[in-house]
Amino acid sequence: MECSSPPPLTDDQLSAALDQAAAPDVIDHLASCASCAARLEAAQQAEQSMRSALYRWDCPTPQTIADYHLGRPSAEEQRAIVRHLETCARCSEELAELVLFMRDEAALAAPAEPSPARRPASRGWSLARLLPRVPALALRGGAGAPLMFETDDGVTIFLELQPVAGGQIELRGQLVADDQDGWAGALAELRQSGILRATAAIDDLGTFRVAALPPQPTELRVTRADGRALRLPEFELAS
Amino acid sequence: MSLVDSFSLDDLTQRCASETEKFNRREPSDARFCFELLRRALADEMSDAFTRVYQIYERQVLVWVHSHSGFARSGESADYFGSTAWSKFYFALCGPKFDSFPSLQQVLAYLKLCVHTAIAQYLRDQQPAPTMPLDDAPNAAHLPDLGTRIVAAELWRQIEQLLTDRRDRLLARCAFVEDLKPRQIVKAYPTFWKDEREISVELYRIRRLLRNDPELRRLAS
Repeated sequence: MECSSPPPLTDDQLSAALDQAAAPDVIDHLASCASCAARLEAAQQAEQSMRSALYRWDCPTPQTIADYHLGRPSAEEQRAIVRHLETCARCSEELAELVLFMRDEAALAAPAEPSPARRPASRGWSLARLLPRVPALALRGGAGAPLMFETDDGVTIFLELQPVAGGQIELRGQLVADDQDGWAGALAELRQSGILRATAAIDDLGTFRVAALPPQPTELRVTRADGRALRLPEFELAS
Repeated sequence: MSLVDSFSLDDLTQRCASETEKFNRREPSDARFCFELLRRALADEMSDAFTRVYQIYERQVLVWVHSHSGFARSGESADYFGSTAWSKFYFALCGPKFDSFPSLQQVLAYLKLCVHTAIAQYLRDQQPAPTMPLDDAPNAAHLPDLGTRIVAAELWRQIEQLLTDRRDRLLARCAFVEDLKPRQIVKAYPTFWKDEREISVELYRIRRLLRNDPELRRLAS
């Protein structure tokens, strides 16, 4: 394909177009010349491919930067972080934000959260859905079939409910995921009427247990330290 | 054995809650009860104790979330960041790791720091890689896997071989690694570049150098 309005655009003119800083005549040329427009598109794709591969590839995590702020890493690790901060505006900005945040003595009163209907859709929580109960999976005599929940990103949660003394319910959970190791140490939170009732840590087999809860509608959230989190729809805590 | 060691969990919780209220009213308070409750929750990994700790400090954590400068621009719910912060906190301090935190002030400072890292990590993960439309940005906790980082390291090594000038490397890093716009680069490095036009002209030159390298094209494809 040849330029329809020679001479073709130079590489520098295409660079300007990449930065959305092209002169009006360059913009007009691109609008009317398929050949130069194709060259621009190829340049855009090449650059985007490179940027995508490189995006903050060597930046320490916010946790590492935070630990650096506390002086926790070794001397060698500290030196490496200092060297990185000298040439990384984004990490320097994160550190500055951290320093300001830690110094700020926030007032005790928290602003009210918007009601759930007005709250923006959460991208942090992975929402699980309840699956039909399978009686054959009941594991212990006297307990009904476990509740099963599943998320779109391949995590399955089994909940076994067992009545215990005082009319309460013992809950035993099992989380199964492709990246099972990543869920070890995750924190399970159980709430009833919005109030936190119990917490439990997921062990390395994906199991957790809460000894006794009142038989009320219950919400379960499980959150990993890396921010992956799932949330079950409210379920009846009854065997 | 100290006095607080003999307290029941219920008594400890009550004393901790009471002393926390005094602290929040800027009155003299005794940190021992909360510290012992936290020690049982984290060092001894007692889930009941951790639940009590969570209940006492839950509101404070949400206050910290709301006060963080990144919270408003995240568009995410406060309870998500609260849960993530608590999870980070538990993971970082449970078992023998608690020994590194000898005072209540240090423990609570770390809890606050976990609020920051929860928000900062989320914001970093939500910023889309330059090829991705915003709606397709990965969920929180996306981290480049090892394979991706190896490719990136090779790519960057090749770029450094082509750009021997320190300023060029810094500009390439700003543009291609940090995805900064020319105005952001000028603001971050005012002693290197005086205006956006100067940056654009130097980027043209850098692009010419990089574009002509077949090895770079191969690595980036």
